[in-house]
Amino acid sequence: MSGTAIQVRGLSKRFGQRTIMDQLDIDFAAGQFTVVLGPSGCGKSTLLRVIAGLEEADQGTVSIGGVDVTRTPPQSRGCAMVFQNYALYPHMSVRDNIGYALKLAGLERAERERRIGEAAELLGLRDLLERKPAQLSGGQRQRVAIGRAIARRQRVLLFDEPLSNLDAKLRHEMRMELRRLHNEIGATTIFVTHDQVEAMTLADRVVLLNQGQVEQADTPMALYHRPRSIFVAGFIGTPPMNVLTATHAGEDVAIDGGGTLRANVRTDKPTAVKIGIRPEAVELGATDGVAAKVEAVEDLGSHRVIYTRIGQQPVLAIDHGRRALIPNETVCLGFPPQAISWFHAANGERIEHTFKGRQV
Amino acid sequence: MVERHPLLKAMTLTLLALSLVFALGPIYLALCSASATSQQILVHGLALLPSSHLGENLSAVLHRADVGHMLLNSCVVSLIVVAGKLALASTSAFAAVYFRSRIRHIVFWGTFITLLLPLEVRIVPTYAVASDLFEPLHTLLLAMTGLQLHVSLNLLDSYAGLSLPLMASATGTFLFRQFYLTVPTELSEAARMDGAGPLRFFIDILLPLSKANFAALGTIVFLTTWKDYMWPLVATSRPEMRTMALGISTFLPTETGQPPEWNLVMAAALIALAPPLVVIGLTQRWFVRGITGVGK
Repeated sequence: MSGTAIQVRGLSKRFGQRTIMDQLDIDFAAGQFTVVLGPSGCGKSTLLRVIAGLEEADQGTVSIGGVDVTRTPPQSRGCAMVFQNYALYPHMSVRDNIGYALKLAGLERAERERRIGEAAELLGLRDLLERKPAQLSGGQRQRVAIGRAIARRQRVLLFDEPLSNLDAKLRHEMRMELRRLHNEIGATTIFVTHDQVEAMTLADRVVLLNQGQVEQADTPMALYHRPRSIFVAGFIGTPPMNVLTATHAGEDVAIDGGGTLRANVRTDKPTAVKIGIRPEAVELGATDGVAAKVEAVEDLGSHRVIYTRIGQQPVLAIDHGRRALIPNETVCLGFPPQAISWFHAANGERIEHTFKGRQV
Repeated sequence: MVERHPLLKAMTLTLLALSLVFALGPIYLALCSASATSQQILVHGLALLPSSHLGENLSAVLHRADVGHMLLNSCVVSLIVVAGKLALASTSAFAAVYFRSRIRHIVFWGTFITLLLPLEVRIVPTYAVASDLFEPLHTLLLAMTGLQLHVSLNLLDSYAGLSLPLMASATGTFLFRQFYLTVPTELSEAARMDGAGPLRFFIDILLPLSKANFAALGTIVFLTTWKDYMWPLVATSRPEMRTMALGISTFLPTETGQPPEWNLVMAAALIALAPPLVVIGLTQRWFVRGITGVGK
């Protein structure tokens, strides 16, 4: 069971007066695990439901494996779906829940049993096959829902926030398991979530949606290290990227309300910019840097999160040192030039600078 | 009970006891009177204490009227109404909840306001239609085209005539609608993804989930149909089509001056009471779940 590519072209969807998405284009590569990430109301679930065929597009087309399925009913699109609240049939046993679609598809009993057995094996449900959903824990129910989807052996697997009803520990386990399953099955997978940790850990590729538009679509590491906009910078990472307003003139970057940095790019006329830097890239106690006032320290054991301010602008730093820090103390923060992301002050979009012939 | 105040407890208990007296008192009276002789009742009024003539009164009732046939009629009519009403109510509620259509709300609320028009209110037109099923069509044709139709179908004095007018009801549709609304929409979406069409979803998923509702509505409908007096009175004239509820009145005096035999009336009432008791006994467990909505 290998995957198949999905193309979404010019997709528009409106609910009453509210425009969810307008002229959206997205591609999902065959066999890839794509996470569609975004804040609530960004249209990610609607996108998934349109691909599944549960929602009709107002405009635009969806093709799966090169075939236009915009007008095809859900069951003929070759998609299987896992719902947020599991949506198991309460009166059916686990076996019947997994086997229901297979029965409707007209499969022989022996083949059905074989597939149910395989799915149960893969998900560790073997001992639970005769139970009803009400007799299962949340994690087990989610496994059954996943089993029901994979037993159908469709080319496309769709997940609609499947882990959001689970507690943190189970969520972590299920993440590992989903990744393992994907490697074994290889179906094109679209996974919708608002949780950036799920996106970072599961995805081959992340599509970050904001108000029905693709903010950035790339590998998790590219999103993390080279955010295309301030929105992406703020959405990915805990704590998120620090973003400071500053003025770039010559080779100097003057941070509003604070000191000046030496940058590795020149500009001839002074421009207002925003500079972004990951908290773990901020160097605490650098010899050459900007003065900041410590406001609070959170010690998490493995590392400390230092809350500081440069003028009025908050800067978070992650520190692995043991140096004692007290509130209101002034520290020197170093911003390594290669770790800085540059953004236009006006629209928050990334500025690409070329340094010594290569992009950073 | 959330409150645990002793006074409150005493009050609720009193209230419960009173309701019990009101509910069981008449049955007790009927039982006592059915075991008395006609003379006893004529002299003392309805008996307050049981006596020993129950057996002979019951056999007198069985002897004087064709009780077996009347019970059969009641059973047949009630079961037809139960089956018809359940089928109609569940499918119409399914349509009202799961099919997006512009007119769906109009249709649903149209159905709903028929609650304001029980059979008793529309008994004359209902009788007219039952006496000739094509009557409305005739009138319409005559008014619109001036054509006259010469077919007629008289449903009076038949099982169809007795049961059909009692079948359609907004209460049943409403009960099922409320239940279907509590079923998560994702369930129907999962079924769609699994390849189940609307009918499959209805049969495979909704029906098993609403078993308790079927039992509850079925019980209520059986009881109301069983005890219905007015429609069988109007719609039947032949004795062999009489239902048990009508049959009780056989023992009331038909001529002035004839003494009423209350002991036999009560004995007949006891016989009429038995089948519904059996039905309640059988469905009681499901009935409570279906009404309180814990049947899922």
